[in-house]
Amino acid sequence: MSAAQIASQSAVVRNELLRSTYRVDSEAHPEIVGPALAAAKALGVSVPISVYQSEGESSSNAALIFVPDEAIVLLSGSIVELLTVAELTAIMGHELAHFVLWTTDHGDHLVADRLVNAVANDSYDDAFIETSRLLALSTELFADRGALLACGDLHTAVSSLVKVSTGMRSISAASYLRQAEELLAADSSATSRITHPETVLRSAALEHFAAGTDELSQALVKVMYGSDSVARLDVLGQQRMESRTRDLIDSLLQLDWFRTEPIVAHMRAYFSQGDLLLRYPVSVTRSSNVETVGNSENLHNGVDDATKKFLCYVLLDFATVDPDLMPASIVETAVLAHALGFGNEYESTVKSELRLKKKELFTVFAEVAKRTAPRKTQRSGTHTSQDPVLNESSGDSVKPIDTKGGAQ
Amino acid sequence: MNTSITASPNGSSDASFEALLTRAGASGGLDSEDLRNAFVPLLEAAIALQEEGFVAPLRGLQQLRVDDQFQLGFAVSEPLFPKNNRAEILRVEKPVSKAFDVIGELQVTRSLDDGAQHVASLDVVEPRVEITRPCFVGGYETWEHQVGHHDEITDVFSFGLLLASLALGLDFRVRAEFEQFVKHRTNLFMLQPDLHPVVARLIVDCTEPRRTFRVRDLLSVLQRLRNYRDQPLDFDLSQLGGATSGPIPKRRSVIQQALRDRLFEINRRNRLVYFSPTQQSLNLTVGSVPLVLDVRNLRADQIATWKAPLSETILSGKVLALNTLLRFEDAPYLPGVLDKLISQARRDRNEYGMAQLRLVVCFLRWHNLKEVQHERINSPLLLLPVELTKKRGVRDSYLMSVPSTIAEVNPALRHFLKQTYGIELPEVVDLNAESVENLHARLTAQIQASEPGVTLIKVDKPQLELVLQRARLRVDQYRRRSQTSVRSTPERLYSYSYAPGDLRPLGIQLFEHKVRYRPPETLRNAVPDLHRAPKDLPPIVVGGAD
Repeated sequence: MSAAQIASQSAVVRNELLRSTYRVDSEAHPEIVGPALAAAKALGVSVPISVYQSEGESSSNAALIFVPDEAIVLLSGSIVELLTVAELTAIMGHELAHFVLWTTDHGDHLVADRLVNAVANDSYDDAFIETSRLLALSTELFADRGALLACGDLHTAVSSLVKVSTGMRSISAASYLRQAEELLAADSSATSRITHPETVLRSAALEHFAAGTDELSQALVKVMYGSDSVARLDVLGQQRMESRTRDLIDSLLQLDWFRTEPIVAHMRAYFSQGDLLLRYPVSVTRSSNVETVGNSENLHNGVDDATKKFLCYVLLDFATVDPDLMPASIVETAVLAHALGFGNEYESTVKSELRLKKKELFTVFAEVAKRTAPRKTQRSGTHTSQDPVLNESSGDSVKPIDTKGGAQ
Repeated sequence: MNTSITASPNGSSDASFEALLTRAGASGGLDSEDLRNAFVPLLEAAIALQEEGFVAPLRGLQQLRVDDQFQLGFAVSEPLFPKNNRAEILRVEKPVSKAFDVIGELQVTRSLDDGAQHVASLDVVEPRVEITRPCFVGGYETWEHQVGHHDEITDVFSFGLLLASLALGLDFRVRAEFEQFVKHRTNLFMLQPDLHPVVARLIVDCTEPRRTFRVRDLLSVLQRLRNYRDQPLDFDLSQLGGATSGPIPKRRSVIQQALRDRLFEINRRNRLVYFSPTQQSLNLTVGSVPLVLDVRNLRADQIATWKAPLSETILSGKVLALNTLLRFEDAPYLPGVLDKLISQARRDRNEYGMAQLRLVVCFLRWHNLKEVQHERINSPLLLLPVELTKKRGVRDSYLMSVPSTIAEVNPALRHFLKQTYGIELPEVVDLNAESVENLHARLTAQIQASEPGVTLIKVDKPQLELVLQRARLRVDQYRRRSQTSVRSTPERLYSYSYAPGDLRPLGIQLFEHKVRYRPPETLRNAVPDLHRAPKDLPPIVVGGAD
């Protein structure tokens, strides 16, 4: 954007504000503008700061109106009476952090944010809507850190958040943080908020940041973003799920007898550039690869029903696409499903989708049970003794015994 | 603790229960209002005791006190704990058989000398006899007391005895009077004709010997006694003129008419008075509107209203093809609604023996000036029984026929207008003999007679603009609904099969739809222009702390 464009846009915004709001002057209201300047200094914002108070809005809140050459904070409701000077500094820090985010890196974040929002608003594709939601949640967490930097005290930052969201005049930040801890310990379901996470989660995230770690803790990541589920994937989650699907299919295609023409063709329907030999040298055993998939996907915990259902149908595709392989392919896929922890779901899918005769079903499942029984004991042994090693090591360092043979 | 259980308002005993009983006996039972005054404080005290885990000291009359306002209460110094003897209760209440229930025992004595028959109830057992079944033991005691059990349900029975005793003016310590009560327990009006029906019901419910069928708690008893006047009475013939005197057939018809009128439930749920369009109704006028762009292109004769030649065709008894009348091409919802109407009519015919499908010839839009003056009420006025059939073909056609030209005047509305304003409407109108205009004139005359300020306007020309708007709304509504119903069940979008000859796998479809990244339509065009920013970007506002 050229300087002239920026100036003309800022003028439009400023005129609109002068028309519909009250301008908080730095001379008349040092108690309001002061905190804003202090926050700007702490965050290194060098553009002029101006504060406006909106008319006719009852709920206490603050918002940043973004123009590139000026940081405009719009207050609403009785937020000024509600907060102490330090808390007001925190709120100003939160709003100015939005400004910082959108002006650093040549405004790339702003462009990204607007693109993601525009796409989400325009499309019916759930992935983009979810992406936009997660981006909004993360943006708020970023801005909260600005609040902490501006006021310098965790409890002040937390109490400013709670006061604005509850409207209460007196807050105990320490007890609220304990409340957050309690919640995280008890409930790990992901938030479903659209733009702002629950205040209690924001407080917990802020406490984590104040302790000196940039990354969110495992528990917080889980409640903020949820685990990858086919029912609710954002664009990045799609990539992860895609590679998970690829791993699943590849571990099936390790078997020579499995790589028949229809199966390879179906694999290409999933991944058009699927190249077997490049990705997997023939020497890697099938079983070891199963272990890798199992560990990297962490399928035993945290995979929801929708994802399991999806993976079941992917396996079922490959079990049925070549009718010549039929009972053997079902057994093979079922064994793999058992190894990855959704064997029971897969078996019931097979039962309901394939109209097999009772006798055929019985033979297939008996074979599966025979194949999985020794493997299970071996797996559980590995898990208890060398789990960490197993997680870090690459697939080929583990050599489980394939008692049946014929895998290579 | 004592303060809370001394229930007598001032703690002193100014009159005794005996004195109160004597007064009641002299006047043949206390008045309902007196009963309420006497028993409400007693019940409240008993409930307070039960809430603290005690039971009311209601065995016999020793602990009862009556104050100078004739209010009952307890004079207790020591709280009474519940007594539990579940084993005995189970033994006594054990049913004789699973197949039937013994509800009483009678002794029939027939004298061989003169053939006279004497029936005596065995429900009142002799004192000091072992209790073998739920029964009356006489006095102000219960059989549960006798077997050493005392809980809240026991208190209900004791309370029922006290209430009965005062309401009927009977002293239950006198065995003859007690037996009289037991004998007439199911019809207490034999003993006291003026007894309030709600009080009578309450006595019967409380003095049920079988614990399973007794009222469970004193709180509900208190509520019933407190509000006995508000509770609906049963059908009272004495208040019905002509129901108790005159020739029997006439009495019958009066009673039947009153019973029928009681069935009318005039409230907002009654769609015959407060009509609102639902999926169970179809507006033929709206359905017949061609969705033209400009209302000026709409002609009144294109729209179905009750006018010649349409009304004549319908009344002639000919079968009317709805395809000529309705715009199936403009209104896609029509077949669905018509099918629903047909199946509903068929179901009604099978279940009730008659179809309830009616064609509304005209509506009455009116205001109830006695209640909510400004509310417009929309009620069907003339209902013509019709039959709908569907004739299958390449394009299904719907046929409507009218078996009779006699339309009934909406019975609920007729009843309502008669009750509220005294407006008499005929039960039926033969549309061949009498026109809608006539009915309008009759109704107007009756309204004018009572209030000349109220007018009744006949609308027989469709308001084209309004009707067109309605038709558009209805179609829009249908489209929206059908879209949302598709979107809400995305799983159904997949058409898949794992059958050997017809393999259409689901896994790949799920993968394509949910997992594979698809660049958005918007971006394909937008990305090249990114560097050329639009001239006036709208300001971006981000939410604040909340």
